[in-house]
Amino acid sequence: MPFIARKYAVWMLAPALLLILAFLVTPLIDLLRYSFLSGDFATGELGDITLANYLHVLSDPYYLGIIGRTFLISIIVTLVTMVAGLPLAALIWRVPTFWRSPLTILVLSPLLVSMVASSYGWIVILGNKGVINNSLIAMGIISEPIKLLYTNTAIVVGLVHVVLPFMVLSLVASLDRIEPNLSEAAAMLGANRARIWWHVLLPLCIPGIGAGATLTFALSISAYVTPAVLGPSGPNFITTLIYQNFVNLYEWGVGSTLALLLLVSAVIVILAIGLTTSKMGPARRAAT
Amino acid sequence: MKTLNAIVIVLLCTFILAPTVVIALTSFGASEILEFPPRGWTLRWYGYAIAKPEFQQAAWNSLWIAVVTMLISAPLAVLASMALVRGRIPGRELIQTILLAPLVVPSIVIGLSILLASARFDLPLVEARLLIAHVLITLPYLVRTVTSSLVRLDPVAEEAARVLGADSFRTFWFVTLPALRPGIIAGMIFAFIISFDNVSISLFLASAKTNTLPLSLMSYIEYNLDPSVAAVSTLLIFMALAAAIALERLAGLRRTLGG
Amino acid sequence: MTKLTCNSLTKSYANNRVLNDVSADIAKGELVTLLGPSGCGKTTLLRAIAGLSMADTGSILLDGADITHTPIHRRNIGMVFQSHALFPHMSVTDNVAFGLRMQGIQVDERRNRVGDALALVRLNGFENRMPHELSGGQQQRVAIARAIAINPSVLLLDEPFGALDRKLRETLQVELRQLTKNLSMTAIFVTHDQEEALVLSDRIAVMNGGVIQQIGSPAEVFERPANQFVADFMGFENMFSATVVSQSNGSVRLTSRGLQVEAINDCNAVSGEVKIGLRSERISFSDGSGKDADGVNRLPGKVAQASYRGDRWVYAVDTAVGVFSVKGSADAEAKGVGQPVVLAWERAAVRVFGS
Repeated sequence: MPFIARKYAVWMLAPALLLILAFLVTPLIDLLRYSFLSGDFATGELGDITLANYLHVLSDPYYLGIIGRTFLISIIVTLVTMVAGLPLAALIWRVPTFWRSPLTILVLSPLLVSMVASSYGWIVILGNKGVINNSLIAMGIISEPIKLLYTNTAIVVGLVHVVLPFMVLSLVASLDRIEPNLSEAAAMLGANRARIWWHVLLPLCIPGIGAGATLTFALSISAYVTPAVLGPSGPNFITTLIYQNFVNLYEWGVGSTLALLLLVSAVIVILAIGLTTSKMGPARRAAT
Repeated sequence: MKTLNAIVIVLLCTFILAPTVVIALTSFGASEILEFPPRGWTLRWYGYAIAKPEFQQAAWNSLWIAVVTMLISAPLAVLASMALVRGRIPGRELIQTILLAPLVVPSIVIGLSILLASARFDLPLVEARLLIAHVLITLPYLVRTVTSSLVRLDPVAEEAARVLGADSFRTFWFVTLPALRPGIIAGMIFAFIISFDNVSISLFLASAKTNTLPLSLMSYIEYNLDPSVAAVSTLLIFMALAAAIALERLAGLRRTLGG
Repeated sequence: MTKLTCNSLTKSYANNRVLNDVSADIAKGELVTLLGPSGCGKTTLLRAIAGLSMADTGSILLDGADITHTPIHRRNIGMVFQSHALFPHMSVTDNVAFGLRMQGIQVDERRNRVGDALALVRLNGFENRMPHELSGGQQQRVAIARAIAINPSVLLLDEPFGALDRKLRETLQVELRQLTKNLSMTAIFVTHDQEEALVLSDRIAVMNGGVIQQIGSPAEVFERPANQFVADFMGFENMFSATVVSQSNGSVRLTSRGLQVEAINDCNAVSGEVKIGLRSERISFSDGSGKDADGVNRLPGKVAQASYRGDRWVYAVDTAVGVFSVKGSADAEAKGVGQPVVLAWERAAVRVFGS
């Protein structure tokens, strides 16, 4: 195995690492610092170290409401994505090789199309004069348009659309790792398709589902564009709050606190699912 | 049961394609507002959009930033991956975590960090900040693609080259790199798209003068919902489609995205 | 009584005929081996019987009922795969009980039957182990237990011992044979290993090119191969061309470059140019007595190579007809290189094939 000597390896890693450390890690320390400060950030007149920001954010119902909404919606998005992702992943997995490519491109398209384009597509679809309402009215099912746009539902729809590819990817990867003979063996032992899924395939997919769910949840709570564009007016997600505090209100203290909260949440979720997956034991890991 | 499955799949595919298709079709609409189905067909919104100076400027910015981003990210990622996979260094897990960190950190926090860091290191140039930001977010994807290609590579070819007298650098250049090329190009295309499409980070760092296309679209929509938005969006969609096909041909979309 | 019948099964992939009008009858309690090189169609045939793939034309009858279009999970056929295919997330018990669960059998009876199945493969006490905790041999035993637990009509095995080392393979071969005999279970075994086939089978079906070349008892196939392919596959090292001189009741006379051969006439209507096959073990070195006088089935030559193989000698002998491979006992006096010898064999050892 051709090895690269340590001294060279270090130099090779340096640019990338330094970039990340300088522009990502170090500023986090600044964020941490700001979160403990209060005062006028615009003029630079700051007070002493204080927990005021944290107390403010964690006790004010306004903030708590938005934090709660962010997490709740994200959980719903994750669950919906799991349910929607599975049939799609199953399809890609068992379809003849010829169809895999185009199907994959189709399912992954939301990733490559700009969020702006997608969001505006939803505006046209969900609006009061949009596709859905017009169709329902034309078919006589309703007489007044239903408010779909600028609601929490619209946020869920928009987010599921964006994160679905990640879930499908995870699931397909998981399915691909399952030995093909297993399905055959189960069939020969008397299991029909549904039972093969329930008893054999799904249990072995759990790590993939876990990975997909983690990613989905983390992406969801971090989303900015979709909740801002499709949701009700006013900040819907923590991300909008962060933006407002930093850019509009110059409340860097509060903004930093919120940013750190968001970051820590994302990291905890990812660690938690990572730990659960490895706790499932060598058996599952051996199979996947 | 099979029909139920088929119906579900069709519904899901419709869901996935809906916004894209709707926007694309709307862009050809003759009326003055975003309307679907469009009444009448025309290409005038494309002309209108392309002629707008703010879109032109923003498009140009997005383009050169995306190109420079991928040209910077790629070598950085290749070097880092080679060192990770083939280098004898302690703390490999930690380093890998750091390299992939930008994936985990919410975009808005990344934008913030760069803003703060630029203040600290005294980097007033908006372009520089945008570039750094875009390199940061594309780096993990490239590292992942190149690393997985590298790990799959049989070192036998490289060992043979060494035995025949090639030093490290030449082995890399003549043997390893060509083998990695499809993965690298795929990663670069992906980096281009991510950079071009990016909104959340650029939102923080761009200025009125240095705007990106997605951002200028968003601000245009604040006061104007005519189909030129759809036109520009559709152009972005076609760009994405071209990229997707190229990626799938080169390295397989699933592998690029770390399946 | 026929348990399983295959009628004119055909299957093609692209332009490749993998199964070419294959028919066979398998009796109850028989262990039949499908033997042949890669690509001969043996696995395809097995999978068609299993229902894992569909033949293009033809039918399959099990206990008289046509199962050609029956879905896999309703055929009640047991299968053991080369890769054992145990469910990695289930314990040994759950694996073996799986088929019983699918049949709706209740917990208590399941437990008993799992116990019985594990006893048959001598793995009692392993109930709670997970597949990855077992050795290769144990895994295959569990796979066998799982397949027989459902009381299948037929047991199919697809090169199940291929991935195991020699000693283990031999042990499991013997165990498998005893198992199927004790249960009177009909079984079809696929392998490319001639020795394995000989050890296990009641009958062997040698396949090539999607066709059953010969089906018969191990002795038949081994000693009296029906055609060149089977002879070659079963290790007839010495093959040469000859011309038929005369035929009469019971014998055939042939010549090849001065060599006179007499064989038993049990091959129908051979005439003209044919091929003759002789196994290296059936050739001995004549000591100059007996039948040497008329020179039939006697071939003079010179030893070109002599290899000592521990339990025997293997000689390459140059003759007018070609180079012959001859096995000699380790006890007998070894022949030296360059030594002139006369090769001798019995009429019964000669196999004649049409060209």
